[in-house]
Amino acid sequence: MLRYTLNRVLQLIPTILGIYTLVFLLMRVLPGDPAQFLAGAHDDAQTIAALRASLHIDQPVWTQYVGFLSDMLHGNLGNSFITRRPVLDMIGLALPNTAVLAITAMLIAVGIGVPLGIIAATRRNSLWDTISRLIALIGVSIPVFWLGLQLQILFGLQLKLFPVSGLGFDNHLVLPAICASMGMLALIMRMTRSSLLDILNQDYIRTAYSKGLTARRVNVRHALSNAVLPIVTVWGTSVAGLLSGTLLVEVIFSWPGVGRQLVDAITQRDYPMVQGLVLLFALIYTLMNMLIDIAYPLLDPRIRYNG
Amino acid sequence: MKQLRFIVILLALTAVFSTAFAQDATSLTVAFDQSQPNTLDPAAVGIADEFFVLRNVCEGLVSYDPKTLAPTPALATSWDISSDGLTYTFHLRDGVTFSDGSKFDATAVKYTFDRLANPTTGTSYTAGLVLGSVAGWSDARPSAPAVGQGTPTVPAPAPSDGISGVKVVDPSTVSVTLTAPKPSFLETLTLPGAYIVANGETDFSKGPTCTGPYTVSEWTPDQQIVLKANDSYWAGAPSVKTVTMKVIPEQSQQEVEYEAGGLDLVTVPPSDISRIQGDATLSKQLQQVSNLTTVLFRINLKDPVMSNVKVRQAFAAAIDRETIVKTVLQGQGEPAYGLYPPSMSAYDPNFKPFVYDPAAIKQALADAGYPDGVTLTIRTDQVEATNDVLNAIAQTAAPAGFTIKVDSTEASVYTQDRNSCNMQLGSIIWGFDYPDPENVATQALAGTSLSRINCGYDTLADASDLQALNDKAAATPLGPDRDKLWQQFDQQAVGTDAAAIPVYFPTTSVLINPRVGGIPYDAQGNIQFYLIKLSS
Amino acid sequence: MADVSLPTQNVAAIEVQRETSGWRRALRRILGSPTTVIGLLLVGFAIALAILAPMISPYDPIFGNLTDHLQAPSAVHAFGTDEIGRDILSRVIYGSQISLQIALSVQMITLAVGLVLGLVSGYYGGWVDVIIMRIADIVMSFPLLIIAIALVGVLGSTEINIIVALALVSWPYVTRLTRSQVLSLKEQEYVTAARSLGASNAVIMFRHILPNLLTPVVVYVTLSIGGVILSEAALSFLGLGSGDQSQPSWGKMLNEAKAYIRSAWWMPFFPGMAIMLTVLGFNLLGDGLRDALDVRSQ
Repeated sequence: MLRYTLNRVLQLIPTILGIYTLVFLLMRVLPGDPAQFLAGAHDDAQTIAALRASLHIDQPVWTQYVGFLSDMLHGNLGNSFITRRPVLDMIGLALPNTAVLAITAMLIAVGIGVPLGIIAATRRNSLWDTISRLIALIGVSIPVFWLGLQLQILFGLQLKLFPVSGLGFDNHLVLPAICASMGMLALIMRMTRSSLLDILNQDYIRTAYSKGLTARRVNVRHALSNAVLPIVTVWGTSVAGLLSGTLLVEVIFSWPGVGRQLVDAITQRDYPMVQGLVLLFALIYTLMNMLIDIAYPLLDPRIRYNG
Repeated sequence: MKQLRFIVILLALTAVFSTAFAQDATSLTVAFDQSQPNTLDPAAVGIADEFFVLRNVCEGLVSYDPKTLAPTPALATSWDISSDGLTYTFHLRDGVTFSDGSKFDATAVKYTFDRLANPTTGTSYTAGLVLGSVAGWSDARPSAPAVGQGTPTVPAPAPSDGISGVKVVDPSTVSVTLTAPKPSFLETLTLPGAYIVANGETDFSKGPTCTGPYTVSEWTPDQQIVLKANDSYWAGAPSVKTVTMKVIPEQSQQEVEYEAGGLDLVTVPPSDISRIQGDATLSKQLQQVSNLTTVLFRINLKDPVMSNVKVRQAFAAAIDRETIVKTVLQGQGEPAYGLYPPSMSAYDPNFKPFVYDPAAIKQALADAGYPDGVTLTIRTDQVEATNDVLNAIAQTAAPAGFTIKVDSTEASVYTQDRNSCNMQLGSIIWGFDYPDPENVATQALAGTSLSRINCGYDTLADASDLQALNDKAAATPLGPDRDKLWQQFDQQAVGTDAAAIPVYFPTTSVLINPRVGGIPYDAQGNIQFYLIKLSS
Repeated sequence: MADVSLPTQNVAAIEVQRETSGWRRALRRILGSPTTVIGLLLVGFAIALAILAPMISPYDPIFGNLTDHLQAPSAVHAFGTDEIGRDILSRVIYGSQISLQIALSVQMITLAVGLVLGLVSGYYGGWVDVIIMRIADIVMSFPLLIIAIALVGVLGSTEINIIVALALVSWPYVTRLTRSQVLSLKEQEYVTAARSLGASNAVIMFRHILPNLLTPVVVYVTLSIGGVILSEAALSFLGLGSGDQSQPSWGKMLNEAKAYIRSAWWMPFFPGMAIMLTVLGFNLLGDGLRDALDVRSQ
């Protein structure tokens, strides 16, 4: 187990290095010079040259790459081209906002998705089942940003129930969290339903019935505990999806999180910010996958690691 | 007895409410228009949101009249200009202290301008506008060699010891020597780069140490900046004591905040004007504010089609400016035929060189050798209002024989392509740096602009005539004679050459809470909290 | 979530229980399921709109009448008009062209690239496998946005570049799926038999293994078309789509409508509905195909 974990962590290093190199090169290949962007209409050679020097992008690409890499190894991701503040500080400001939004969305997704899935599976082909499946279908088909706009119009502007946008860990959170939870909710509901159905059809459940256990206890105790694994898998893989989902939600609801930062950083050609944020996204994604793999044997004793 | 209790409660309630209102009448809440300030260092600021804060916290030697925009005394009480127009002697105001308690004198002025001249600290583009004609500038900033294509990669010049043209005469007198007469020099001193900071100040992370009517008391990035009144301000304590400047990136959200009473002033995009005009309460709070901006086209004069002056003139005429302003812009603006906006004295309402007559334009195109019309691609960035206007131009120009494709890309990509002139024509939103025609006249000249050099503005048949006319106007003292020369420039550059094609002058629509009195917006479209009086 | 992160939705390894009873039974199953038929109808409708756009759209999608701007839906303009007087119904109809073109092209490329790389990776194993899977890992942990914007930036914001960008982030999912199938198939008796008869690697891969793993891969690709449509719309919504203003797209319409949500609800409503119904159609169809072909998503 320990060896396995260690191995996985070691495998992270080339992935991270690859991601870093890729994003570094992509940003340099991209048309759109940060200095010219900052200079805007004041496009005389002198202004632009001074800006390039102050951003250190007048140096050869190779020097920049090595410089950034050695800074990164020392835990320094550089300063934002736009705000001139350390990238780590900027991310530190925005990450908690994204985390709150993502966790709330996740709670909504699990809190509604799992019960809906259980109801749908235990009352197969009932009205509840149909409704749940419909929700799940719409959840994966609806464009998040459009849903956001519609929620803003209906609940924010017409009914005036919730604030339309902006940061706030109160009722400001309601609309963005609902919006961000949709995709994951649909997925979890679907997964819960289908894995429960699979298990309910298996022999040992039938045996449990024949032993005289009531339907409710059979469902909850036996079936659900066996359905946890696929649900956790789906949940884990969709965390990355949730991150990109919150990105759009952050843009629509003016939520100052890392997703919004990424969109701004890309359009402003803020190289250090883009590099820092992409590394963060990649780290979260890979760590999530790793955690799931490590959590498997804890949830299902039938799985063993062989080195 | 019961009645008495009722009266007591009523009195208590009134007391509570009146104190609430009393507090309210001294505090104001606004939002940043675009995003938020990244720096509050006067020598580094470059975007409107940063200017917005600094304008209320700092001041320069010279300020401008909020109505006429003429230069007025600020930290300098008066100034003498030598007869050759080259030496300005500023007499400094006595008894002014910075927000840290230190005394304002000539050393602070010298420090400020030295810092601005230094290429490592004076990163704001306003440095060149303020100091460009001051003696010693070319030593501090050796000019970068002209670059043909793409990005200039010249190394930045070495930091200098300061700018030699700015001298301390005595603690209350400063002299500035120019290399050429520049009557607009006083106007440029109102730019943020020329705001005086305390001698020796290097850390601007909590806001600058200045002498203005407000100080920065809180700066929380992504959330808000709070300004507190400087009660020892030399011109008298401000009546608004606290100003909260909020970061609300989405304009629609700013309006929602405004309607909920959370903001006292808000800018309204054209997209929302019709809704507000239909609202009984809001429509009364709607005002138009001029903002000294010209939207125009930069043209690739090396392009085989656009180098033909007849095509340029035809295209300039094929823009139905009146209809576009009325419909797409919802009346938020004025059609632009010349370069100078209506609030400037050089504006000539009778200057209309182009007539929108599709049949005649089509004929003119045929005469110019294009009987089948002309196909053009207009480049732009993703500013919403501009995209709408360009799409509308494509519509109005179609019956006149133009097939126009609008290509809208990210701002960073567009800026780069515009600077290397990798386009036929592109949109420019020119916001004036200071209220003088010379600031926009450059749009028809090659000058030092990479974009216009690459677009061949120096290859225009009468390029040298235009430059000479510009230099003559710029050296003429402020007044009607100067305005006449600028009008001549407009007639030649726009009317005859169509080297720059103006489209419209945007105005800003704002909602103002009725309790906000005084002068909420000056004639430049800027908010100066010092000029605002609140009523309950 | 199905937006920017493409096809995670159905990525959980798809396994196949091969049945030999063939397509006839599958077809019967597809037509027997009402949801699948609805999906078919929705997809068919979207395709019909795209093909017939020039014949059925009531107005020009690019040029409107400036003075008719921001009109609410009426008998004249069923879906209303936008800020410069363009007919929204016509724009929605034409918008189907770009959405479908992009989605179908992306899936074609994804299928071709993903299959080949998956086959090679799974069949040869070793360092080829390691390299391919490591690259797949990197791409999968990379926000789509970055790659898309970078490619669109480098190559120019045209439709083709958006297709290339989306395909570039989609192939690893198909590759992984293919690879896992190959790993189980290559030990099967008929493969070993073919090898012992002297068949070349290429013959074994493409003649013997490929046909047997095509079904789950095709089902997966159908299921993820919706995700591609959503991704394209999201890119356009963020202003990263094609900058050509003369080609209406649903995402671009939503981007433009953003500023008008308070004064003209019809501007965001109709293009959004168009996206949702089309994606729903592909999802229903994909689900139906999976059930009908007995591909189990575990």
